[in-house]
Amino acid sequence: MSHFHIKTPFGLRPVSEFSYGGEVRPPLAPDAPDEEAIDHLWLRANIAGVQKERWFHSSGTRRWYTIVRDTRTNIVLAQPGEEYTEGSA
Amino acid sequence: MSIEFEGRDVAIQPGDTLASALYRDGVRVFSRSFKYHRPRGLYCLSGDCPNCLVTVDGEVNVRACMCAAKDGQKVSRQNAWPSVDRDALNVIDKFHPLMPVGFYYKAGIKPKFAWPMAEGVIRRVAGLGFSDKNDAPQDIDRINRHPDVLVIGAGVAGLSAAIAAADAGKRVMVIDEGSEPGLRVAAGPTKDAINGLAATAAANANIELNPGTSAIGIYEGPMVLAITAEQTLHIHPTNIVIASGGMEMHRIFVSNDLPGIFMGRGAARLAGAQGVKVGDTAVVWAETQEAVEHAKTLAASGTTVAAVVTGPGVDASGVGNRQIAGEIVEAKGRKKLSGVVVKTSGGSTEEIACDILACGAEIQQNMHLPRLAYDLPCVLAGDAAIPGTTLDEAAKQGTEAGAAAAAGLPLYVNPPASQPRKCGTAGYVCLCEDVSVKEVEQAIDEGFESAELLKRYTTVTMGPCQGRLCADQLRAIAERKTPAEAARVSAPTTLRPPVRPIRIEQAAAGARHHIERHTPLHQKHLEMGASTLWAGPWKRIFSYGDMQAEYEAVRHRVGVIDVGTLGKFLLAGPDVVEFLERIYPMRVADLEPGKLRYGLMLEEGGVIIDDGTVCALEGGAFYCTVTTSGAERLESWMLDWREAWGLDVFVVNQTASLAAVNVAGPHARDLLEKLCDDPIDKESFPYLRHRRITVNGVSCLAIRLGFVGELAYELHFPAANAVEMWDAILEAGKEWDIKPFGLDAQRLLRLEKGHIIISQDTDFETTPWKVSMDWAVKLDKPDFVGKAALIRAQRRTPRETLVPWQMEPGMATPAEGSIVTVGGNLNGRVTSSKMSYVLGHPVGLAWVTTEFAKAGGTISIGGAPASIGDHAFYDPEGVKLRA
Ligand code: FES
Repeated sequence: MSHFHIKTPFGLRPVSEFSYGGEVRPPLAPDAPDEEAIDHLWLRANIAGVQKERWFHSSGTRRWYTIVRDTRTNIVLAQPGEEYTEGSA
Repeated sequence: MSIEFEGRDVAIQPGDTLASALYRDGVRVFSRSFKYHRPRGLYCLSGDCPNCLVTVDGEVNVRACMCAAKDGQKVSRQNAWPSVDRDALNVIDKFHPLMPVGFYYKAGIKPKFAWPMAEGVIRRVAGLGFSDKNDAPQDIDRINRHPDVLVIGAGVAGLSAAIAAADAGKRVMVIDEGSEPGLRVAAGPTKDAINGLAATAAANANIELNPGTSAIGIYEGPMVLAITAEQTLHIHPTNIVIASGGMEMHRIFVSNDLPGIFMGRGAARLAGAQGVKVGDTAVVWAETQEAVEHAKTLAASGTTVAAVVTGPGVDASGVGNRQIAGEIVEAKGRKKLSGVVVKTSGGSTEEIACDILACGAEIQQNMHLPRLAYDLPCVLAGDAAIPGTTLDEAAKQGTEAGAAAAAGLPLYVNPPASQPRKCGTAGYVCLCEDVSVKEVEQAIDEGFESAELLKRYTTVTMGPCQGRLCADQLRAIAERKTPAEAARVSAPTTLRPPVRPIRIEQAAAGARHHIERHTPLHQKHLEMGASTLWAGPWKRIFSYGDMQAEYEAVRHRVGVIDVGTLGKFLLAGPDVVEFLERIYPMRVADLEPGKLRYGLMLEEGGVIIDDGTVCALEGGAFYCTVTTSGAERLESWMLDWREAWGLDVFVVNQTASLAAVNVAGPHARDLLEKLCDDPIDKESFPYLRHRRITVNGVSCLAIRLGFVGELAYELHFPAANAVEMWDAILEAGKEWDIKPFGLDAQRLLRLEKGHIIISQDTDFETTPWKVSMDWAVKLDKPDFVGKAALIRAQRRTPRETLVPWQMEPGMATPAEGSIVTVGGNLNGRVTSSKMSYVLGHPVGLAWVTTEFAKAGGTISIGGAPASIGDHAFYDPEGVKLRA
């Protein structure tokens, strides 16, 4: 039962109001080689550590937010709009 | 007032728990142990041991000492045959050697055939209670709470902390297991202190006292999960003060599980807080000064204290008939306690007759909650922090903790420095699973040294007490056996919530907080006798009672269906064309205002996730519809892509603000002409066009589509006008005997046309190629979602293809999901299947291996022949829908 808060224009909201949108990944170039395309389409990094990820505020502002979270501790290292530099927080 | 206990009435008094009422009535054996069926009596009186689990009103494994007695409750003991008092299964106790430690792993491995038999017997005699399979689960609400400071435990420290935090201006929530603060504390200075603090707290507007609320887990956030009888609370405090107190250690000696042996605080609770005469003659083992008070409490309740056996540094002078420095090494008695053997500090042993032994052992902190809170903003207070804390110290710690929590100091729980553990050499380590010291030692000899391995092998700490009594003792034995490796063998085992047993329905709290969406016409439909079904979050209309009549109306006259559940989006902005070109696999840029196009939506893997229409509006905006179940998901999906591409486009979700109805059938135009003055004839408003027209005085976006295969107008208009519009259409349609139709009829109508329904006919690997929709994909576009996957998927022929099929008249309609075979080999499955009224034979869609998926080919469905069609069996040229 993970629990943390995400900052929205209406303050910190509990994660239970959001739905997970997955890791932030660079877009796939249309002319990418097969290897790269297959990786992009079918594989996820599934990091045990610091991850940049997307959350949709489905029961609230209905906007997307990008945060940096440590998947091992569920501590949010950078809220939307904040810069994450390694070792901070 | 009384409870019904195994067929007889037992009187209860105010403040009674089931345990105190039954004990007062003379019940001494409350349960039989799990493995050997040894008699067990009340022990801890704080919900920490396995001994008092009973069945209450059909609910199994209720802790009698924690359950307030209520008039009329039905209570019975469990896990014994024929009764707990005379348990025949107790013979197992005589066969100890046959059930060695690790029994479950050893037994029945050889010979192999024996295990299923043994398992059958074990299943019958093991287990704790029988659950009522007909028991209707209770709906438990899930409530979110957001105090500044949460205090767990309303003892001296907890209440002091709450007052300090509230004085600092914080909103404080206090939770405590008991039905009132200090419920289980015997009269005396502690009780007085709690009462005083509780009164102060109750008068403080910043403090909310929540009795009868158990914390069962602490999670990151921090988030504390707590339960009451009716609710599951998700508490989101900024800071937590844990003042959950401590408990006396479980002491191990020969026959330490006999009924009559209590933990010191347990006996004092029964005698002092609940006014029960615990026994005739008691021996009190006082390892702490606090336990001397227990002796006084017992004496005051009418029990003769034959002796106080004192540990080092404890002064019991004047209390009890005798004071002996020493320790208890053995208990005497078969079914209940008859005496104890004391080993004096001088080394001699002496037997003292008694029927009660109160073990006032050293206090160990309740580390269950603190250990879950590791690394969270949390403060410990009270005798949880320092074993044996005095009242004043507890109050001071509480006040400091409360102030710290209020200040938001980043105080974290630190695991306490481990203290040398004391542990007996014979007796039961684990009351839950009947594991003796000898068995643990034997397991260590077999090579199971670390606490984690010992736990799994011996099952110690895995029973109902979840290690509250035995975890420390297990580690102590391991340390004693292998002192050189003490550090390694005694690392604590992993602790997980729930720290108190909870009911499944409490864990599932909120699971039934369904969102149920209705269109503005829902009530209208119900008044007409409609039956409903779930479609995503929506309740949609299945039928108005006569599906065939609804169907016939559409095919031959006119019908109307509420399609307000469709996802409806208005898209506008400078980049809207570019955006839609990338969202949809077909071309959008060349769509002129007034025209529309069918569009698939694909995920990145090229799999179809939705379909709908795109209408180009005057002025450059677009109106898009998606399926009923897709609306929620696709809104976030589109917004996600918008940000990924950085395009300037607005996505306005109009699903709820607009109503939509589809008027379909040969007389659809005749009907609308009665309500509308705008030209809607074939020339001025042809198929696959949309117009803004005024119907019944309301401006509607009208769309000409052909999902059901007839002349049809889909009207989209403000939800506020829905009821009037519906009534007007039904009224105007009377001359053609109009019928409203539901999904059941619609599904047949579309099936006759070979139109697919995404997710009924498609699955998680359906690309457009597989459903012969190549025409809906333009691979020469620069990019769109799914293109990268599709161009690669295109390199090989799909394994299976979705095809329409039909059977000869007179054949039975196969069930959806039926198997498709060709030449006796498994070749696919049916996704949709219905009897076509207009054609007079079954029609449907099926996945068929591509090799055989040729129009005109024959397949076998459930043994009956079916022929593969081209696309539509009904009006294949589409003359009717273009009418
Ligand atoms: S006596 Fe009730 S749990 Fe121990």
